[in-house]
Amino acid sequence: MTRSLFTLSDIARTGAGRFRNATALEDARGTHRLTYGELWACVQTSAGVLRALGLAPRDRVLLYMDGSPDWITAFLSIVHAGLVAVPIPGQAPPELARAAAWYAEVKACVCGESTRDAGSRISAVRCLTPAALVASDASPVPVTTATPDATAVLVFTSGSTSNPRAVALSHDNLLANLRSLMEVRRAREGEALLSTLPPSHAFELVAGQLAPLAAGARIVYAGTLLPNRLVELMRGRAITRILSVPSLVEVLAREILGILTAGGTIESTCRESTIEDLASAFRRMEPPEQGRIRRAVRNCVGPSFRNLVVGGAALGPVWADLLPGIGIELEVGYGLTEAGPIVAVGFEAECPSGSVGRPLPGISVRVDVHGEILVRSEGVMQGYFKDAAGSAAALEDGWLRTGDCGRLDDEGFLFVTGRLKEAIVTASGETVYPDEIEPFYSSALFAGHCVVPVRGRDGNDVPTLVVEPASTDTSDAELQQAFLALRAAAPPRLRAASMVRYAGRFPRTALGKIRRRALADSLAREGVPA
Amino acid sequence: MTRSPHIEAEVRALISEIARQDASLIRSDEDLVERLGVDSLQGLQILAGVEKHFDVRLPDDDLVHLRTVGRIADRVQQLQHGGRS
Repeated sequence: MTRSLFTLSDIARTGAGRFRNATALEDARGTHRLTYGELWACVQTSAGVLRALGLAPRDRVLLYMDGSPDWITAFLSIVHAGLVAVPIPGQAPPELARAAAWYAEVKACVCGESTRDAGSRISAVRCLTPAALVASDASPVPVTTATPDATAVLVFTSGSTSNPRAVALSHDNLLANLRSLMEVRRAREGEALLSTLPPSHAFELVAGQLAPLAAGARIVYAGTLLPNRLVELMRGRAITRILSVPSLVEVLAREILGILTAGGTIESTCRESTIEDLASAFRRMEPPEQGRIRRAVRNCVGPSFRNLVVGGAALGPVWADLLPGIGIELEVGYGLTEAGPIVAVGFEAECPSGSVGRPLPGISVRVDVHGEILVRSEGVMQGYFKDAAGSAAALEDGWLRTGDCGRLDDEGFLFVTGRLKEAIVTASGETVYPDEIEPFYSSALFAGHCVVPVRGRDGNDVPTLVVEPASTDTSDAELQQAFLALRAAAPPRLRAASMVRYAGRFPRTALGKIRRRALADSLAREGVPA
Repeated sequence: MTRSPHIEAEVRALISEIARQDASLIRSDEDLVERLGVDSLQGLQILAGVEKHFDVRLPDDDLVHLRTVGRIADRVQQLQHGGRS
């Protein structure tokens, strides 16, 4: 079926033919619902409204809203009209939206209720709401003018306003990745996916939006991420699958644990336990006792739920133990926006410990002499937008340099062992760079300071501030107080998790630049906890 | 509307339990993120706890503003009295 897809809006067109009356999209309240037939009608109408604005082919349109039925409808309309979607999360602050709009030179902006004011203040840009996109007097666009090799989307991979970086992915790139994914993981008709991640991220866009729609599944948008509401939705809407990031998995698990202790299924003291302790307690139980817990979990999350897909960052090994035990299949994977984005997937139960699965069909992966993972596929990006030098550095003879270190075993399983770049990927899947964080932590009490990743117990990196005190007389408490004050003033995503006092002088280059990697290595040797 | 001291005390107790910190020391208008270092996921747990404990449904568009004990208590009180403001 995926062979009949030439551009992205063909997903909506063929869906209307095959699953016309099936529900494609619904919001958390259950008040906004679209069938596949309605989705395709909306896409054609909205593309007409966008055309009527007088936009030229390949003009860029900012999509500034949270995931919802309106989001994917707007996205498909933009690409159906032959335009380029530039999605940013609805939670992004207005200054970031302005920076993205300026950098991508967008000509129009589609905003939700909460982003309308910010969107309308982006100068010289027409701002539309989803309601305006379905104005009935525009002539619908039945046939797309987009070509498969045209850029469909620009995905920002750096969240800062100072050094934006946008990955250009074509219709071909995204559809190639979708085909590879669907060869091994095809949602079935009647499946329902709970969407919890921002679809402005390529992983959610392909695996959480396009793949379910290409298979006739139903997408339910969670809206807020309050764990009590997520569990309510899982049960009430017969959800079968969730794509998530590790930090949300823990919050969901705590919520289910709360329900189980409140219902008397397990002792209330378990609420205070760590996940490690719970997993080992579960392992020690007799099979009938384990069965009782499994049934209680099933009552919480509903009888249909079976599959949890975790991307964005590493999930601690303890989960691989616990989740299958309580009847939830865990899927892992590896990808990056530049690869279009999914590279490898695997069911945790079938993968050797620590592996992220096998590369998808049609995707070649090799590891070079420096240990860096290289990827070649039709999904690999066209390049970085307006950054020829960056693109040339990332793409070499058709191979994408991922910046990640890893290895492949004899059976083709991929292991990601670290990062060549200095990016820090936190447990919520967000990427931050030491360069972005450090400017917020200057103090007269520090002779020097820098930010290094320290590996936490769950396997994810925690940005940690390391300081060299200006005077040996400065007490730890004074340093800590200065750190907390600076931390409170920094933007939330640029907050270092903790501070470490460095004993001695920082390792520096001949030019006086701090050697971060050497410093991180020496901290790791000393066993500094995150 | 005068703020109910009972609701405020219960909100503090919930926050203490989830953030594992002594919330009784913080002023009701102090930002939980700034003062207690509550992260976004703990924030979700706190608000979920509030919904369950008081059996209310917090308005979606208001969630990002509920960052102090006082605001949370006020919102709960309004919802219990059947209105939003």
